Amino acid sequence: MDSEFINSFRSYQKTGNFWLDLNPITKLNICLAFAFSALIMLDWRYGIPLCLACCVVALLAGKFKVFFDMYGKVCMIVILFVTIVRQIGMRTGNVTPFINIFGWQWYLESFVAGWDRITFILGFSGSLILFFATTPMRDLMYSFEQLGMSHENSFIMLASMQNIIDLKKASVTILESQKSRGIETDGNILVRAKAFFPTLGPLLLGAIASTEEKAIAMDARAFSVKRKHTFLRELAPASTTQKTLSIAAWVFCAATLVFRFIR
Amino acid sequence: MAKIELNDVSYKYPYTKNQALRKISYNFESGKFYGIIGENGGGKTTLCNLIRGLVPHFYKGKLKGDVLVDGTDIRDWNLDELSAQIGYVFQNPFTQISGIKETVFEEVALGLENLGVPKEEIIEKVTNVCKLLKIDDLIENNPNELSGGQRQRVAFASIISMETEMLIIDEPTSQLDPEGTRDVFGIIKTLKESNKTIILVEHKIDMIAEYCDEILVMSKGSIAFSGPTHEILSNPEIMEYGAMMPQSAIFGHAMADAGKPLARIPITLSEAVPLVKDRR
Ligand SMILES: Nc1ncnc2c1ncn2[C@@H]1O[C@H](COP(=O)(O)OP(=O)(O)OP(=O)(O)O)[C@@H](O)[C@H]1O
Ligand SMILES: [Mg+2]
Repeated sequence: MDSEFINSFRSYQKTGNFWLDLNPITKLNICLAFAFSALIMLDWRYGIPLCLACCVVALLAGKFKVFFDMYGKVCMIVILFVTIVRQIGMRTGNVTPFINIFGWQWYLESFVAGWDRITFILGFSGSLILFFATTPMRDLMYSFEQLGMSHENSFIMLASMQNIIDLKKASVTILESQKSRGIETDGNILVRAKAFFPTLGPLLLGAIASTEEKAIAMDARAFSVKRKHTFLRELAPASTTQKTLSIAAWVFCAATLVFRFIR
Repeated sequence: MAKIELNDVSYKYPYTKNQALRKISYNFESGKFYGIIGENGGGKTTLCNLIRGLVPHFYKGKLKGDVLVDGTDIRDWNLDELSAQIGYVFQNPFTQISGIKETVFEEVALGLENLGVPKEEIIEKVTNVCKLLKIDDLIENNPNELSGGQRQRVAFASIISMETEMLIIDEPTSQLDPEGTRDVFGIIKTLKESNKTIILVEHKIDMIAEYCDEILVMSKGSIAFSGPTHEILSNPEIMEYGAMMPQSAIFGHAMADAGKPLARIPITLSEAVPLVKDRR
């Protein structure tokens, strides 16, 4: 038996990476403080460096792929959406034509005008996505439980996450079996939708049944016994340095607020 | 005082017409090993659910009669407290994985965490149980991605690690190969030797014959036969109730029918061999 793995439970969980090993609450404080600072500054000269900083931290934490899978999509959607909205609101005045898409004239000014907004949304979401990409849900729940959240709530969160994974798997299974019965599941959106909607019923029923099963399964593990739980897997509590870091992050956030008002 | 006392118990699941249990009376004594056999849909699992308190606390429905656990009516028991005293291994191992742990080692430890066992003790117990069930090469695997047999072992390990004084085990070997089945029965035997009360539902009749103290044959929600293992399993009438007879007992009856009876009907191989030798 792998005694190194077993021994890992005897001390606090560590990965050796500075950012990953920060206490989830510390990480949450830092990410939230920076997210709000982006909202306060509302300036591309602040937003862009913050976006880049998020990418760099994700890279250093070795979680860039997870981070960017999500962040890349958010970036695309936000940029497109804000630009289009700005474009629609920018029909008159002193404008410079930029590109013409099938008779729809886009203007340079709309890109510039959207810029501050785009970078603030991206700075804000970047900080939050960075947090979730580098903090396993079970670690976050562990920390919340340490702060007094009930283990029932923690279980509901974690079980829902697993439920989503299970549902995905189940929907693939159902689609496969439909395919084997000769129902078309590949092709354009309409064909896919037609194949997908009939699977919702069994999926939903399955989810309800599995919730009941999970409740019984947890009962078999004495989940609701009125005793203080122990934790096999423990995280280091936030050190004084880490607490100072959290406070510093919020002081910085407050500073941006002051800066914004006196400017 | 009996550990579990059933007195004229009938039970109907909600929204169903037929009674899943009919007029059941039986006493389960502390420290004994009971085997429950019988046809599919006979009510074996329902009886387990009842003793463990899932009926009526979780499955509502209509319950009549007295069910006493340690002298206290099941309706007055707190389900949570029962869960710390009676371990229950489900018939379907796929529904016994918590879904919130990322490794098998942590999955097996979950019950002990909930019971508030100190960490060092948890590590020791889980390590031992994993060795016992030969899942030590799986401890780092994701419990949600195991085969049926592996899940069954993990589910079994998860419950026996809690070391409850009573165990209800519903078909623990349905997904296992003959070797795995033997392992599990070996473990149940050691559990029995440590004086635990065990109720086991199992179709593998030769295993039941070898290990159990008493047998209940269930059919259509009632107890058709009950008594000491040898007496019940050598009785050919149980076959009319969807239960099997051990190979050795079938052999014994065949010999008798052929006009060459053994001194008595054997129910295990080790019992049959000397009887056959004596005949010569
Ligand atoms: N959750 C439920 N809701 C309604 N009816 C149920 C439920 N579970 C079982 N039953 C019914 O109760 C009866 C007894 O079922 P039970 O599962 O106890 O049988 P069993 O002896 O364990 O069968 P098997 O050998 O197949 O496991 C059956 O008629 C079954 O249809
Ligand atoms: Mg059953």
